Amino acid sequence: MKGKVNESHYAYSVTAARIMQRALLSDADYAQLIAAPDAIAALAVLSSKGWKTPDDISRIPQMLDDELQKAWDFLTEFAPDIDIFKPFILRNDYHNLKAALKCALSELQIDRYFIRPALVPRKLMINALSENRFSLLPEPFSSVLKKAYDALNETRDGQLADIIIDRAAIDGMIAAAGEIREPLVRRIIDTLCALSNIKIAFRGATLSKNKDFFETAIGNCFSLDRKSLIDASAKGSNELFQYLKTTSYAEHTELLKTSPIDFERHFEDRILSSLEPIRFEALGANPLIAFFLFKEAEIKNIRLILAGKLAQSSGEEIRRRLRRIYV
Amino acid sequence: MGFLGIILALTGAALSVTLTCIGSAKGVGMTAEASAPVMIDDPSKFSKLLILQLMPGTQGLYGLVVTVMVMLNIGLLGGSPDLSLTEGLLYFFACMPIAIGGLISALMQARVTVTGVNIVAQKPSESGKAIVSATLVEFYALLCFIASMLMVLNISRLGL
Repeated sequence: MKGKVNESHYAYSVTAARIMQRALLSDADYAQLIAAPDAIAALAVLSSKGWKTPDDISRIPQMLDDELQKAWDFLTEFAPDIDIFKPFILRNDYHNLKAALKCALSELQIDRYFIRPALVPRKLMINALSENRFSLLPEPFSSVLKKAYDALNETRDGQLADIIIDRAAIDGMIAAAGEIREPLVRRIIDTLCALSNIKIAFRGATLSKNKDFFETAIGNCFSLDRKSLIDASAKGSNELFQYLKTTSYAEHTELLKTSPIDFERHFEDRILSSLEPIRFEALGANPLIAFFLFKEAEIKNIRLILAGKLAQSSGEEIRRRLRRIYV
Repeated sequence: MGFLGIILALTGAALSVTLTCIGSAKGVGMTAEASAPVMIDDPSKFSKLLILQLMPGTQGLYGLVVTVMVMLNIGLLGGSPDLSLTEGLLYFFACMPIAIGGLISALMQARVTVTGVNIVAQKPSESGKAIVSATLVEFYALLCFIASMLMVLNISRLGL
């Protein structure tokens, strides 16, 4: 078990996070960004808020990664126990694993698809794939990559490789959270994994996938019974909705029927709203976790706004997709 | 027997200053640690932060005063120390309110002052409220101090 540093050791880092939290964008800032006529104007608004914005819109993903990397670097430097935050960035590593696998088997440039912060350095992952030496990666990434690589070579089914890595991500996050004593980490990681499982189950049920697919794709989480979820999904969408109504996610079920995008947003809003009272705590790891998740949500919002601007979406449409951040 | 009485009285006096100073050191340290990022961000907030940093430090002072009073009363700082076992035990117990109450209140006050530092970081205009909140905890340290002082000063009047 990790993550039970005396809360008084967090005095410095929590105040430092509080100061950084002041720089998070407010509702008024979001309104200004949404009102910007195009992505360039939105970048100018961000620049006026102290963001280091690029001249070229093709570098927007890098700007966003840099921002989250800054928050992660802050935690790495000041948090008394960085281990408790690792489950939150594990999904980036698994995403990078998928990106690296696809890039290794195609002409795609990994730089464009690799996201940060991540536990495994980009170079190491590229070397492991280009030299075909998966053992260069730490466990469990090396075995997951080997399994996905073999599956891809045998079946030429890219979706199967994705499923293997996504499942490993869910199981990896749950296992990492299970080793941490902070209840908040376990609760949030569980909710995130439940969301991933429900999304997989819903997509699979809609496409009438068989039980083997769900057995391979659906991972473990604390708040959903894996076997029941697999059985229900294999029987179709209606059975899946019936099962979900018996879980703690019942309130979101109706939304999943009408709009999976809104469902995902509500789910994430549920996590963020649960952090609202925590942000006032003065000691312990919770305010730092809240800070990192707020920063992550802020970056997701900026990504949505800028993507919306590039796609010339209406302000209302962009606003509907934004996550609620409590600053 | 007189020797045993002195040992008991001095144990109480020692605990009085040691425990309160442990609480104060921890409290002042925590608050100072929390204050550092605020001062890096805006050095002009130093005076507001200094008050908050000092607040958990008073318990150590109360503990020291009680210790000195015990030493004076038992004749250790002048005179010839001679105490019965009962008197020694009474002095020991008289020290306990400030020793225990001081330790706990310093740690509790530190939590309030660290929260106060966060208030100063986010809303400096509200720093007065943070200081008032910390003062509420100080009140209980003061009650322990008064209780210990009254007991220490009146043990000799029992005529044991």
